[in-house]
Amino acid sequence: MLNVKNIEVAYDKVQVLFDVSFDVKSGEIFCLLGRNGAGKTTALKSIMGLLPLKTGSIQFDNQTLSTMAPYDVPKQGIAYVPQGRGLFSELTVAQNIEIGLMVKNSGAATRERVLDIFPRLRERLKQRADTLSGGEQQMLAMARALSMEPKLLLLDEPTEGLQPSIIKLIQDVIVNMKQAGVAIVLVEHHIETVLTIADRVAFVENGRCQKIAEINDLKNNPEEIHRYLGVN
Amino acid sequence: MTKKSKALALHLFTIASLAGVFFILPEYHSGIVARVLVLTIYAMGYNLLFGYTGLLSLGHALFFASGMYGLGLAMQYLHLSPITGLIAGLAFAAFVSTVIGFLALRTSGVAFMIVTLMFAQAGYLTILLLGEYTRGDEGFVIKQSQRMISGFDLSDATNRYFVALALFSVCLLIIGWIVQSGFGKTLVAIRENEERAKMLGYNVQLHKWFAVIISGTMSGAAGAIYALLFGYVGATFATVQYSIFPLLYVLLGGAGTTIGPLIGALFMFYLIDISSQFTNAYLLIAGVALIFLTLYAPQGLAGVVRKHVIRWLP
Repeated sequence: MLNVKNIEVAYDKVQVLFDVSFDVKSGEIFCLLGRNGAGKTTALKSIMGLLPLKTGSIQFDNQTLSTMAPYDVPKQGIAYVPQGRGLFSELTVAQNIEIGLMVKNSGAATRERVLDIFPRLRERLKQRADTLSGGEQQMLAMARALSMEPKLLLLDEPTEGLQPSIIKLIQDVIVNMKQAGVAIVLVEHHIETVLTIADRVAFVENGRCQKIAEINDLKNNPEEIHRYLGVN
Repeated sequence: MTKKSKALALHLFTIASLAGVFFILPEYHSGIVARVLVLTIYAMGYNLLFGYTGLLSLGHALFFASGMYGLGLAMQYLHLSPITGLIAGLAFAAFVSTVIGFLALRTSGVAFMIVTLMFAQAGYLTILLLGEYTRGDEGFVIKQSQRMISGFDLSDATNRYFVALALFSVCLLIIGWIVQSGFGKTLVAIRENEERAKMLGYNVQLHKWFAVIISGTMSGAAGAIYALLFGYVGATFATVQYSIFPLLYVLLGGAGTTIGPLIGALFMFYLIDISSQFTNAYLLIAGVALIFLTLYAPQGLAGVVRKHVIRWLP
């Protein structure tokens, strides 16, 4: 489904990604793990076309994303929930969701389905996005992404700074998406979440993809996590 | 009642009120309101770009003057009728805004302000340079005999008021429709955060270009209508001052609200009209009023109403 092949990305003269390759299948949760500044967010932005590639290519469903304009990438069925949520803070919950719905001209049925997943948002439809709690903002960011009916979902630290009950809700939503056949690329620091829901993990260090491992291998070999992340 | 229906009802009520008020206003004031209605069309066009898309232009006088001269020169030298002259004015303003939008949108932020200002200044100087045809600063008059449509005299005070109102109504309903449409909502998303809008799959540059074209054409329509109803075409309307006016109307009335430009234009016009009866420093009074409004009601008058009273105000 998604094939990232030998990509190199730089911010002006500072190269951030070196020869990064991975692929993600339909219905798979693929996690990018690494310390801050390793290049995980850069990889997601590159997939979205927000950063140009120096070399390499990114293919999705037999389409070459790396030659597309950034505004054409989401139309292929790719939704991105950035770090910090990326909401339109002065718009209401309803307006934020509507902007997501308009991308694919999705109708009321999709809107209702999304609000059924996050019923708390239904109670806050007229409220401005910047007046929501952190957990509600994350729900809204996810809801807006889901309203685009994605085939591939890119999530950048979706559980950052959230209380355990909200983390559980976000995990459940991600797993439900996976079961519906959506491919998911997850950037996550919360190791418990990774071990609970991911299928495969790529360790990113200094802009290079050092290792790709099956999650069961990691569970049996926790020193790998310690080696790359410095945590137990 | 849906938000759309409420917005439409508000717009129709505004139009009906403006029609009714003509019969109770003294002639002097109905003349002022007619002028305000035309300038409100100008401000509504400006508001689409500034209030809804977040692009601050300092060169809208170029679009206003394009419509005005497009109509005026076509009527003066090609002897077109008022209707075909109006079409010529609109077409010329649309052409100018398409070209200027294409060029100016290669910049953003402060650079966009400066580039639009420079283009407007170039337009003003072109009018002066072509003084043989445009009569430069002095301008030219469109004769009363030319402002007749099948015996309907556009220079008559009553006719002028209702033609201004009719054209204002058309523009208000168009703006109301645009801001409720997917296109209008995308403009708001771009205003809120361009990068996020791009990330969600919207062609930001194309939307901004369309916004400049619609805004410029509506501003040009106001210029053409002004020339037609008041019978004068002059370079004064292409000066920086006329680029600032719609900004003031929109700031005072409420940026990003459909009726804000009307409120702002009425407020500003009457503030200057009343204060000029007492002092020559009437612009100072207007400036002080603007400072107070910016300090205590930064969203403008309609913006305050939307924040505290009518949350659904379009």
